[in-house]
Amino acid sequence: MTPLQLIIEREYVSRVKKKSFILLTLFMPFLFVGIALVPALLSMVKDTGEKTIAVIDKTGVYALEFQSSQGFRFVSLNADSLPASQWAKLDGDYFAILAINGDLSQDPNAVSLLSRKQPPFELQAKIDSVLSKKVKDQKLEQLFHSGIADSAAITQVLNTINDRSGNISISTFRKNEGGEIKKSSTDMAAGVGGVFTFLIYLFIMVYGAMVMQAVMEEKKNRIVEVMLSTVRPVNLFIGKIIGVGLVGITQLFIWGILIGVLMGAASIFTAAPQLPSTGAEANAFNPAQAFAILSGINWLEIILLFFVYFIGGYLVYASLFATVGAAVDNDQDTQQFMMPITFIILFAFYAGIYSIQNPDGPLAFWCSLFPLTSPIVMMVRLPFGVPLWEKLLSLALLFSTFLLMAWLAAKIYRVGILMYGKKPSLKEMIKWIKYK
Amino acid sequence: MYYLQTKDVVKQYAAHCALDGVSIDVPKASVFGLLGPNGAGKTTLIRIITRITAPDSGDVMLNGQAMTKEDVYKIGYLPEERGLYKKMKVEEQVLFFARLRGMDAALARAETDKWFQKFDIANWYNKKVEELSKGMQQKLQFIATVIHNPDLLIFDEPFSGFDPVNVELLKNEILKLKAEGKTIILSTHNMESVESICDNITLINRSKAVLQGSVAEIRNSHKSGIFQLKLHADTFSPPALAPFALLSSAPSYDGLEVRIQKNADTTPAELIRYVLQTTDILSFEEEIPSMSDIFIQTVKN
Repeated sequence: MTPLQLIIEREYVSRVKKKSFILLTLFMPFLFVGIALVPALLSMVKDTGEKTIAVIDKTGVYALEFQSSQGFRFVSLNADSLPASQWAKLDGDYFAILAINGDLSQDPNAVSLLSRKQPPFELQAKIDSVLSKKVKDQKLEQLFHSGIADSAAITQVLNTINDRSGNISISTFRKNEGGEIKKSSTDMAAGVGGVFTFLIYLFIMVYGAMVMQAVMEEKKNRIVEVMLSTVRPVNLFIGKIIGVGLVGITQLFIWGILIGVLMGAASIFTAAPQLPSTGAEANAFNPAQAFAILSGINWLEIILLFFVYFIGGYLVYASLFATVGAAVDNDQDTQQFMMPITFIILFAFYAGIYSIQNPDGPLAFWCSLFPLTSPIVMMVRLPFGVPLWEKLLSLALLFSTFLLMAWLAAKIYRVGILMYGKKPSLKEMIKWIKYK
Repeated sequence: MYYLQTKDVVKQYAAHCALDGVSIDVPKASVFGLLGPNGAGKTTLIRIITRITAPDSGDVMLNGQAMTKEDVYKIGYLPEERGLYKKMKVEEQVLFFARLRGMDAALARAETDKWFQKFDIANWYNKKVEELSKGMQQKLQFIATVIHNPDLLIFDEPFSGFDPVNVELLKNEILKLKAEGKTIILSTHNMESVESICDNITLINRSKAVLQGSVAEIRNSHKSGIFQLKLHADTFSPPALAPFALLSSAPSYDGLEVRIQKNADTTPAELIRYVLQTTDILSFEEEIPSMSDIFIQTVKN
């Protein structure tokens, strides 16, 4: 093994073997899944009764498609007999009101769901699948009647069906105690973006600080002198960042697998008793599928980009943190140097949270390009769809920043790691960069 | 044949000059003392030899050749400040360093066993470093330094923190390494150990090599002509026109102890003849200055 590999191995193994790492890695997924499932389980326990949903279909095309099943009863009401102002009164008798205001094959947004309580996931999924199927039929029928059923036209229709923008999107509204009607904030895209943003923020903070601690420990211990008599500083620097980064990826990977397995197990456990009663395979509720349909989120892209941004963001910040660790030799000075970095990360995090409300606004746009904030903020925007050029530009900026940062950081590191007893000024650190 | 040489090494830091044209010649299979007051530039010179920092100008030659990157594996360096990974286990730590310097894992394991037996710490294998006493850590660090069987060993203050028994053990190990043909550079403030194990020294003061040579030669050349005599007499007063001066005299139970300083052009034989004119001599000895005296004297000038 080369010295670099040995350093990576040491950094990796010594951390992965730690009891705290093993415990955190194995138990956090249970906590996550627990937090996610408990409310769902509780609602299942309570809601054993059949729910009646009023369907107000102005087109008259869709109402017939709804078959009562799985604890949901659909009742078609005449839209004309019911002025909009009176809708609110209805939800005493009905669990929810589904309003279809136009031809969904033309306007996918012409549907809304009003309820007093948070509409259950299954209900949204069921409505979505029924309407999607009908819209698909409609589109095929339109194609059939147009008489041009060549391959190009079929492809076009298939594209429209598969394309996210062609999917119907249900706006859900909730009525609160005071009778006010508000758009429900359960937007999947926002939720997904928020989770990934938080994950990247968390990992950059935790693992960046870990790199800094590791560098400082070596410096304080003076072990760095022994190391540097054998390996080049740049190898030590890179080895440290890669070693700690691999620990982060390992943890993330195990979390991903465990959460997937636990969620899968939980969904089998919760869905199984319902299967025999419905009998029909088409009606079987598949959470994962429903999730995907409901949100129309491109999971593969998001997960891939999550990893790319995770790695890029980690590398940029780990280089910064490693430089701080090398430049200082006591905890007080560390605080001072860390503050600006922490400030930027926190800013990125808050910009990310703000961008959930406004994923295409100027703040979200600029922050998802600026390399110090893009790993965190871009995660929020991805589920809402981001133009390709923005993604490419943002990634190019991120990784070229990393290269520049690593080059500068390695130079400062090389000098700083052997300096003791005084706090370097920024001016001095710039001088270090120029040293041969 | 010199194993290690530095030629006119200059290292300038922003505020001061750490080394100003320092040349040293370290013969093969010898113990070489690198002496000097704190801040004189010893650590900088060692860091240049170990290639931790690069000199501004000057060369480092190993075995007659300009030193290369690969040569660092031939060096074992024990820095003054002890550094070990505190959370690592004892054996892992030594193996890590051995492998880092290009040693095969199986061989490293065998060597580790050997050294642990020798230093009597075999039952500490699975302890974490932070659980060891300071002395134990010192031993461990010494082992980590020599584990890869390097030809050049650099020990910076190796004896600090050791009890007399372990100092002896360490001295013997250093002499054994020398007997095996290794070249050893010893940087220390412990002048007693310099006298007992160093063959040659260089004294660095204020970034310059101010005194170089073999320990015996240096001590001889620093003789100041002071003699200690024990005389069979109650009092002693030198004859008129004697070629020496009486420095002190004090009676003891078996004679009179006197210290005299001879004139520069007088031989010891003449000295004895003069003294014998008045009293009998019980013992006669020339004072050879200690390295400590030489150190202080050189640095003060």
